[in-house]
Amino acid sequence: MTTKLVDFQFNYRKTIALNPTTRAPILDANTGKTLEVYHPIIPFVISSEKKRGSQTEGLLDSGSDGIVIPKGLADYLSLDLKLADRPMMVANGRSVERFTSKASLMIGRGGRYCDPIEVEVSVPAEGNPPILIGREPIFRLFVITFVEAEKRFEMKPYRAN
Amino acid sequence: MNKVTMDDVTGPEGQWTVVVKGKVIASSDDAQKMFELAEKYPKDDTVVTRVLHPQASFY
Repeated sequence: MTTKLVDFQFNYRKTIALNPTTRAPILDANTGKTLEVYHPIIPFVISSEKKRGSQTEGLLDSGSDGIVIPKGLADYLSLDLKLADRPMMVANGRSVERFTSKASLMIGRGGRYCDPIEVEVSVPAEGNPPILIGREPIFRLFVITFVEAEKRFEMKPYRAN
Repeated sequence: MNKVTMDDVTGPEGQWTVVVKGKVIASSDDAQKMFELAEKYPKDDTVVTRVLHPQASFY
């Protein structure tokens, strides 16, 4: 049986970050105005064999080899974690031990979802990263086009010619 | 309460937030706690998201 994938188009997420202590908006150091940033965020439901999570979201990250989730989410899902042979290299060049496990992603929101996709997730042993949706398997299963000028991206199921 | 739409979010930087019907109802560094809290609300109305640091690079 094949996994049914569907087309998606999502606008980039606009984030206005607040100082966690003062709850005041973080300002742009150059302009003094409220800092607004845009990210390609992909909505989905993540599940394990034991538990189905709430609707959540991850940063679509073509620079990441695979899917990264924080330890807190792995614990919530009661994932069976195995220490990986290879650590992960993080953006500042450090090497961080990681665990791996299996999970299921159902991409979509608002009642429009594709079939669950079985994925391997990496769970850093330290730190609290956002959920990162890297290339394997999502960029293999979908042709993903970033339309940076319009702050949106499109996902179409990949079909070999 | 900070309002959230599908395409924008305002909340404390770096924290996991539970959003119910477009309103941030809780935020924390602890993802597990926020996913547990989200279970108490209707699934169709609830999103657990992370407020990204505005000037951070990720893994």
